[in-house]
Amino acid sequence: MKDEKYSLRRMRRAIARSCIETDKFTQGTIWPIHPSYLARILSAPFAKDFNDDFQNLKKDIGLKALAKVFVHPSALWLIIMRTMPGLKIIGLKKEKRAIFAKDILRMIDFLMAGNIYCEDKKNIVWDNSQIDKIFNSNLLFSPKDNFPMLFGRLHADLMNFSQSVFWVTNCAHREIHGPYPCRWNNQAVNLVIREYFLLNPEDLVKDLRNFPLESLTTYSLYKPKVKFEFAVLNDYANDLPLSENLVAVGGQAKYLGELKKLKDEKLLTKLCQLLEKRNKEISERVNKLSEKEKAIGLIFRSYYLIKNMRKQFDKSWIPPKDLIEKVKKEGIQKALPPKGTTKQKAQRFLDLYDPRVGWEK
Amino acid sequence: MTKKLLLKGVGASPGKTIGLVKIIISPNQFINFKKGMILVTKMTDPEWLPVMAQAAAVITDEGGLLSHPAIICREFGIPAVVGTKKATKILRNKQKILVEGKKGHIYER
Repeated sequence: MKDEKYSLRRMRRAIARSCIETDKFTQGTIWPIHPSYLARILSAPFAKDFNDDFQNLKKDIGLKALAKVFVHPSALWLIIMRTMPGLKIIGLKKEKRAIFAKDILRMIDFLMAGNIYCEDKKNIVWDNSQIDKIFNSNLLFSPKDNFPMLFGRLHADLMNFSQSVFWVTNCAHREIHGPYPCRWNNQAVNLVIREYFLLNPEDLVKDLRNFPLESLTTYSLYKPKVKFEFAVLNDYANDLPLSENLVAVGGQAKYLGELKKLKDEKLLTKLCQLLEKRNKEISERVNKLSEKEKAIGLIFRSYYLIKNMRKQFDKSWIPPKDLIEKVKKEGIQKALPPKGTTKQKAQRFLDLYDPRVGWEK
Repeated sequence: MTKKLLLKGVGASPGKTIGLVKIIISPNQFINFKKGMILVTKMTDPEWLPVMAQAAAVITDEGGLLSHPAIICREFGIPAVVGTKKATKILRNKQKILVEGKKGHIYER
């Protein structure tokens, strides 16, 4: 059985590290709008809406069942980052905020396995039997000719498409797992799994109505000399060119309502072209939006994160009208918070270490 | 031959390549970009994918290891140096350069 105390402690460390290091890894323009521009308008109402529903559901169904509503730990991870400052603004006492943080981390713990950044229990590839299952699935093959570059192109297209659709919340709608050391044809390799499980959210982006690609998973086996680092949620860095060090690859896509194996060059090219075409249309349109429209778009994407939870109460995920009206009327403050020192950034999440909630019990 | 170091940034995607600089500041300049050139820009976003797919390497003023240009270039397998702060100011169009994606160095050739 997993030691929950250890697991929670590790998560707190991971969150603190992420708060400190996110700037280091993602410096630069955050596309298409920086979430901090909306902090004044969005933080408090979003945190209140989330917390009200959360507390009711916690009483009704308990944390474990509630965690399952979110399916993927990455969505909860993003929610905790978005709600903590807002809960302070709405006047929730420090102890209650710490209990809230612990509850969310416990929910993440129910859903994840191993590394918080890239391993969940839903698609667990945690033991050898799971890896054998993938190897026996007849999906993997040794890539020749154009295949390594084609898979690289597909991965780039997927990442880009996800960002075009979900903007800064994209890491909640995809997962990258690994690297899992294993053996393929008597050769040591590392398995990396990339999952894009929501590629046609037509209720969020109307252009995606009838978009034929629903989800896609790829399995890539790389030579062990490639080092991966998962520094923040679902995003990794690597030190050697991936296509040159690809030993085997494969995957499947839910395309036109059917599960299709990714073995055919024509199909792969078609999927790349499909993603590239839609990405171009969507991203061009997003870049033409006014600042206010981008702000409203981000509010919609924030509430989309809690769609499944609101469904439990038969509530729509659409953000409150008054919030949208406020943005339309008042606009946004295009200013970033002052850059804090490392210590100040860590301080932001000091609530997570509040001894009164019994972290170590 | 000694290499003159022009710029340093974050080595975001491994690989070495030599090519000609093309500075692109906004999407309406994409038409001027030819396959095999080295894309130099302030920052990329999803709209830049078609031009990145044609580039021999990408250099940006902004960005960190997990920024858009870094992630996309690693998947495409093309060298990238991000967060140089001043590449668009220091480099010139048609300048021949060597990009070392792992070290984050840009040399004159």
